[in-house]
Amino acid sequence: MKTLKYTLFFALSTLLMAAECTKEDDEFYNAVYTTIPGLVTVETQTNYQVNDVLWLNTNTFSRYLAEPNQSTPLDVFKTTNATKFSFLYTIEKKTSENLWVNVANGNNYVIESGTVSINNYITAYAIYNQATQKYEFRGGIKLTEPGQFRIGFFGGYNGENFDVISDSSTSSTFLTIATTANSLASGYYTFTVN
Amino acid sequence: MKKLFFIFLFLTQLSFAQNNNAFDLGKNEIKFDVVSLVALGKIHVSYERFLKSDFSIGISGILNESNSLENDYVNGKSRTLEDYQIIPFVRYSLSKSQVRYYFIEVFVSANSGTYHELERLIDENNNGYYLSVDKKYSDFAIGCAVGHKFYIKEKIGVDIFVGMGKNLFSNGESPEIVSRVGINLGYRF
Repeated sequence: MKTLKYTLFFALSTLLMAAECTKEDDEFYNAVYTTIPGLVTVETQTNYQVNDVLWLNTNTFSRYLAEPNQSTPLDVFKTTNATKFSFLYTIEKKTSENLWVNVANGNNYVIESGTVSINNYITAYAIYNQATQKYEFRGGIKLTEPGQFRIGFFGGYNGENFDVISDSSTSSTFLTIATTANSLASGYYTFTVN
Repeated sequence: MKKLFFIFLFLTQLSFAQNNNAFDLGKNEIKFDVVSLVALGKIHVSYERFLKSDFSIGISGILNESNSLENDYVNGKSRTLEDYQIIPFVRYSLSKSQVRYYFIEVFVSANSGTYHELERLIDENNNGYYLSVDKKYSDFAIGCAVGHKFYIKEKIGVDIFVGMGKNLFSNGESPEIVSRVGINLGYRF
């Protein structure tokens, strides 16, 4: 009987401790997720030559965005107090059948508005302009060699499209917008440089 | 939190060295959870009444005064911020000894606090925006705990316990689970 009591005791102890340790207390709760298509534009051309620049912009990224299933526009600046939003993409060159190699680097990138950070992928930051009330980014990749290329965007929180994420201060609401860009097929814009 | 469990395991083993003689202990005990105060910033006091040698009832009160928990809440790292818990409990000893024993406990917890809720509001220009709004919750949990208790010099009791309860009326407002963890230092009279 005594053995049974202690066995039950230690079994219950283990169970309760395991439950305590696995409690999810590291989640982040001050975050909003929504879907607003078309915030990024790829400035496509019918054909590309070496030394052309392939531009991306966020010209449609107003402070006030039409949110699906809502009758009023969403004020993203008032929601987040964020002075910038970011999104990630890559540019890759096809080197052989089914093999794409990352070719982005800081030397062949030009910026007209906003900023970028380039590592294995390009992080583009659209900066809030008080005068235009838009989050502005226009950056381009110099096409320095011929070949087949593609621009790809990282998958979004909802498993589709890609995310534009607010750079909010600690106590402000974080906003993640699943959005789309034009001319993508299966998440990529593929083009040939002659 | 994990540190508390290691302390729990260590002290339960250490206490085997305690004497197991019978003592004429009092029927009442008041106690204070030093670890909750130091580690979590919570004031946790209890009273326990011993009805039989292996059976007791009691009540605990927990008041949250933690700046770090409040900061986590304000910064969105936690969804709820507990204000207080009132916890009546019943304990049953698994050992014959009165100076060193393992126990199981069933408790209920009346708990209250604040929680975040993100709301979409409309401003004066008819634009929507999201804002984290603080709201109050109150709930009632039932749960169980296990622990170990031993006495130093017949009067100073040390309780080490771990447990959890489930809030019965949680609908995304109150926390689904309430913890019951602590190391009490008590005086028996």
